[in-house]
Amino acid sequence: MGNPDNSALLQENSDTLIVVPVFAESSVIADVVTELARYFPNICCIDDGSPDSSGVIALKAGAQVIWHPINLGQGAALQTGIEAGIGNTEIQYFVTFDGDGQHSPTDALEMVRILREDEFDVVFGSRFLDERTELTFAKRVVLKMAITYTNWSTGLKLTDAHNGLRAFNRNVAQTIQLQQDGMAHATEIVNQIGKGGFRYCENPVHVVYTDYSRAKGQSLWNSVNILFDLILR
Amino acid sequence: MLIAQLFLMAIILGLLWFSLHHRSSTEARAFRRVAFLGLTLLTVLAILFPYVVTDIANTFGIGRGVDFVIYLVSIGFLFFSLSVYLKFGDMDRRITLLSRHIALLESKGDLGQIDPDKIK
Repeated sequence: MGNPDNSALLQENSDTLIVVPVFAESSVIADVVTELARYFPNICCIDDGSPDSSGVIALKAGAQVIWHPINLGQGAALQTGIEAGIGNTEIQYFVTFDGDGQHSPTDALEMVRILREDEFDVVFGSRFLDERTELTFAKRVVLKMAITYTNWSTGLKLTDAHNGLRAFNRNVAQTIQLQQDGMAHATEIVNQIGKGGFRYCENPVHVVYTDYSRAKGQSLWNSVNILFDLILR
Repeated sequence: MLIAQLFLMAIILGLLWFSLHHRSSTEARAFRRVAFLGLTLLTVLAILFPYVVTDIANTFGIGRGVDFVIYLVSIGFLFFSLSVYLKFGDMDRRITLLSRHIALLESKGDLGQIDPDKIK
């Protein structure tokens, strides 16, 4: 923000909307928005019925904020943000970005740059393409199982599942219809992109696990719930 | 015993298939009501003529009428849980659409508009 070196970048990225689902992130959301705002002028936080003042903090930090009247889940928040972006015809590119500070804005920047070359419609972030992201053994095993299931059920070939950092163009945004309000939306997005026959690729991203994001993050048990949601609905 | 096991398994699978494929349709609603009435009637009959239940159980190869009743109740409960689960899912879906509509209405106009102050 206010960094004169980035003015050209901000101008260029005025056609990009960063969609940040926010639920009770009051201690980190200001930093997340401020960091993003160095590169992206359009940041849309969806306050998913937070019990704290996350939405107001995000607004003060410079984001546009949409408030869900009640808590619906991350999938629902993403869908709301995407629909809001579709409503603005200037938006050509969409990035989904976690609100807990585990993603890096420069990774998002790189992914949008790839989209601009128009070789791909979707760029998925992957933690497994380089060695930057440190994962516990248990998490690695569960994520590998998740990606095996996702690849098997969608026909795509990806190396990471349930990574919140993705970038896609307007065509994809208009196709995505997330019905999974909870965390199963990650597989659902991949599924719909597979069905739509879009061109996709992966880009290495660095996910920073802080104590905060670990505490807020997905318990491994939630993978059981996700599987249940996907199969029985 | 084998016949009874097959019979009960067939009921479970049949109900599972039915509730997944015909939910919220007219048939499903009618089916639930008929099942409810039928169950009520059967309960009354079982109370009035407890030995009949044992006789029926025997024809299926199940020793005691109580066992037979437990199986049926289990199936009924499974079916009930599933239909409630699906019903809640449908309701969640509707609440989501409603909430999203409200959220987007409230934010209308100021979304995705580029703030010129931010590009300096």
